Amino acid sequence: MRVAARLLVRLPVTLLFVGLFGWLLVRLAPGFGVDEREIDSRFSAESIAALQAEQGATAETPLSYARRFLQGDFGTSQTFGNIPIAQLIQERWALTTTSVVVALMAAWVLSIVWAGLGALWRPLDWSGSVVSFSLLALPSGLVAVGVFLIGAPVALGIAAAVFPVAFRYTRQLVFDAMSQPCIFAAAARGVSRISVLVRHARALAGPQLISLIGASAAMAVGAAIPMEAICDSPGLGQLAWKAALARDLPTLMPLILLIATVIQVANIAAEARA
Amino acid sequence: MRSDPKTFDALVAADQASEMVTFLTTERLLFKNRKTQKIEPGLAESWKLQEQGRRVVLELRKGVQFSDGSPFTASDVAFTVRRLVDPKLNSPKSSAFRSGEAVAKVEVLTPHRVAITFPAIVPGIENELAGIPIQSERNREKAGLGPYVVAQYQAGSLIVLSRNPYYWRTEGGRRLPKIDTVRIAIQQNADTEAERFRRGEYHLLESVDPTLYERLERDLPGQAHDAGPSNDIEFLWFNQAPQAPVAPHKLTWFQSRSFRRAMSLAIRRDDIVRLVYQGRATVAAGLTPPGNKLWYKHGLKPHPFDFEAAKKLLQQDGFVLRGDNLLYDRQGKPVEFSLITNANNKARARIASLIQQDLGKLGIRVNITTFDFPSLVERIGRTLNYEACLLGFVNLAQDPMSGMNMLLSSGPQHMWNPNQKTPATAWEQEIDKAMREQASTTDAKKRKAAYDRVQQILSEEAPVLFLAHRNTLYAASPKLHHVLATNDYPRLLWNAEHLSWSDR
Amino acid sequence: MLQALAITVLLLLAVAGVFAPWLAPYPYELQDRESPSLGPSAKHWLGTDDLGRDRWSRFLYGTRISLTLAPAAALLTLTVAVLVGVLAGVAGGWVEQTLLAATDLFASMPWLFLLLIIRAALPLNVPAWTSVGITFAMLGLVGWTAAARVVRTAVHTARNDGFLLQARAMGSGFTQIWVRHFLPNLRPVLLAQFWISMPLFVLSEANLGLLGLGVAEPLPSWGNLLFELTSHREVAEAPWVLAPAVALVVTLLAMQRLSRRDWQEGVAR
Repeated sequence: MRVAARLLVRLPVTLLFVGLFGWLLVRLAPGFGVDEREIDSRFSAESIAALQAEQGATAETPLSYARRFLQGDFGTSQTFGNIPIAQLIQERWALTTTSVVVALMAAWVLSIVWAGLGALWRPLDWSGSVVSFSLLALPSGLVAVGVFLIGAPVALGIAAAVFPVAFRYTRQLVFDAMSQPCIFAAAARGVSRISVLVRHARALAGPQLISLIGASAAMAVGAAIPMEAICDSPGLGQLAWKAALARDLPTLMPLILLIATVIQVANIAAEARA
Repeated sequence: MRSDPKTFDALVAADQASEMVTFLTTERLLFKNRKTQKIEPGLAESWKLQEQGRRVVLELRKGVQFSDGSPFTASDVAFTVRRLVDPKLNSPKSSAFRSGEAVAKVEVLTPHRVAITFPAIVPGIENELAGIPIQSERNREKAGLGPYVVAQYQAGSLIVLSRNPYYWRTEGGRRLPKIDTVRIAIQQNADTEAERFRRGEYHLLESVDPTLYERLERDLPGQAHDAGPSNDIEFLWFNQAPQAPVAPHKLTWFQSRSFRRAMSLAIRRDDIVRLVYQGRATVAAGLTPPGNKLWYKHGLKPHPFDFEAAKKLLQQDGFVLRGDNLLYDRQGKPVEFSLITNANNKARARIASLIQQDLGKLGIRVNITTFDFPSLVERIGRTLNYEACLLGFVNLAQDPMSGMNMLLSSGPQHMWNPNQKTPATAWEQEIDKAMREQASTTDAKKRKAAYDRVQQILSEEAPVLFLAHRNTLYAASPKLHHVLATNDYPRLLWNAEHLSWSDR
Repeated sequence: MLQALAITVLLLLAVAGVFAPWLAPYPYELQDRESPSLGPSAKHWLGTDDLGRDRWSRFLYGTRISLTLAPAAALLTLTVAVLVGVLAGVAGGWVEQTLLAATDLFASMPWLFLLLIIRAALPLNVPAWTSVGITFAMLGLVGWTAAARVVRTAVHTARNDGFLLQARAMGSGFTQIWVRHFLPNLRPVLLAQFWISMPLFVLSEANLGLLGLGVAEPLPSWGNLLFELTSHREVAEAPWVLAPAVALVVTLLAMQRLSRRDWQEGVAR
């Protein structure tokens, strides 16, 4: 109930701001409204003037855009052969959602198990540190090509970006919990180390982990954008990437708002649990 | 393919991807054989020039059908030409068909004879006609005359083309094309692309990076091919526009012929070819590559590497090398400028680094800055807020008519000083004159002489430092037959209907 | 033993960075065009890149920028995260709600465009260090959101634990509560965030280099040395190009080793 109330209050306000600022940033970015054809020598001065006039005509005020947007009219994409944006998103959202959800689950399950067992057995902790640092230290382009080479889905690439973050946090929280006095007390009473870990450490580290899982939704969505672009996976991330490079405002706006919604919902849900 | 087609409308297509797809889905009145660089009949069986080349009468082929089965007639040609000259459409292919307000007129004489009257003399009229895709009057978006039709498009990943059952060309009595389905993958990552080719998932790579080329050649002998220097060119130019927000003393350098020539003489073009393109490129002497049989100027030499000559030219211009090993101009200002180029192009980044070191030896500090493409276009096309720029042209059209907007001083793509009201220098005036001359006659010899003069002036004045033409590198599966690579776009698929496949 | 090893590694890297001009056998920008893409040899310990530049020298110089600025930016991130997270956690109520909403807002903004705007506003011939400094500052200012959320939750947990009340009841002053009780509680979160941010920033710097920000040619950084590795074949054929990545991992492991309390004080005890 409280979650729903928070969502109702916070979501519209945040979306309004994200929309407004996002709009402004894209509009003010260099290269906005510039057409590649302007430096194509096949276009004469008149044609270029016409191209620029066309660009000027499609420029809208945020207000008229917002009205259109609320009516469900997203316009057509400038980057992808004039396809309606609603259609583009519809075609692509399932792929990205699946990858992101699978990646998040895989990354968190693996890091919780790994970090938890690492607290009990030292070599595991060591290897976890090496793996997570290595994943952080390799450029995503290389990771993406590696993912492609072993024939794995994009989800693995996204998981490879989320895992080190998840692991670092989980590890720190688990170790910190394990060093709390109450845990020593439990250990001293002869409770087995595994059950100490599962019962007590969970209680101590749990809330922070949940808020992290919420926050990591933003990370996963953020990782999906370059990963899909490099792996040529036709999802929303790739769409966002190409639209950003082309300063395709009509395509970018729904995506920016969508990302903002996902982040909000994930975080509010996590807040309530934590 | 590296990117999505921006449009499937053949008359609007301006980017490479759109051009490639629409090339395969449409047919033109005349056909340019990319191998011989000669014009052959296409949808028109024969044609006659009238009024000194201002009017052309075409006899259309009978019995040709669109992909929806409807017949092709003169009214489709009329429809296409009218649409082409519509100023609202802004077609990149329309320049010969428009001259200021005046536009080409088209008359349907009989269902299979049509006449087009141009507003001005069009040199190379056949070339122009070979570039105009004919569209259907009844069903413009869906019906085409090309060997293939678009069967499926997944934005960002795949285009599937299937054979047009009504395609008119035949071979040995059999309707072409020979291959039923063509899948064009949209793949930005060259590394992944090469890997997929290696695995046999792709059968034809339209272009291959020189570094990957070596590896492909080693791993799959006989499947990687080098078809010689392409129509692509890499070049560098200095901003000479007086209205540009560039420090006046730098503008003075850039406007000096000696300065530009000195820069050119100090650049090791051979190192660019060797280190950036692994030797798979040709040092450029001018805009036109040696593969362009009609327009290449024989005897035009690339600027050589001559460090001493470069130093001398700079000295003559009042530049001094001081004790700190930096070059100073007449006013005592250090010679430092920024070189901008587009991000995400490894070859260009390498070229920039080489030039940085080459010019560094003269005591010049070059700062390399990369921008993403839209930002770059805004700088060089609109704000002119840059000092020097490294860029390239891909598949430059072969006829000099395509260079009008770039070479005329009034042209918007006259990059070093665009949109001039009157030519800023005597040599630009000279180029204007020669370009207008070649555009106002259909006499091939006169045109060639005039364009040769343009190339000569460009080489002497060095407003643009031409660096290299990269070679056309491609890879083809041995199962794919009749691939005839050329240097003219589309390099590999110009004869797509003749390609065949055998599983042996 | 390990402790000593970690200290040695970090000291060595610090020395490498500080004394790069004396240690590097060649200037980092020198192109030996007759010997491009060489493997390791006595002359070139890590071989040469495709323009014939000595990889070892470039690595040494790259250490300077990457090992000073990336940790600095990571600390900046932590500072912002602590400020926002603690304020939200302590204040509660509408202040907290507003701060959380602002954090989400921050996490969902298309910052790429801000970076483009900043680059466009800078002059063309901007000094390398200015550009690098701005880049790392931006990275630091943008990357704090996840950490802020965790800090806030940690503050909540701590408050619910009741030790605050206890401490107050025992007569501890405000500052004392902070330094003795709150900050140690945040330690794991902040450390984790540091381990993540630092390598991330080392690499992001190179990504931003593509937009005209960051370290420009020919100046090397670990980021742009690593960024050249987009071809897996290159890595397979010349594994020594991975040296900066290995150095980064070793640095992080060494730093982690030095910062930890967990094994000695925690589980191992």
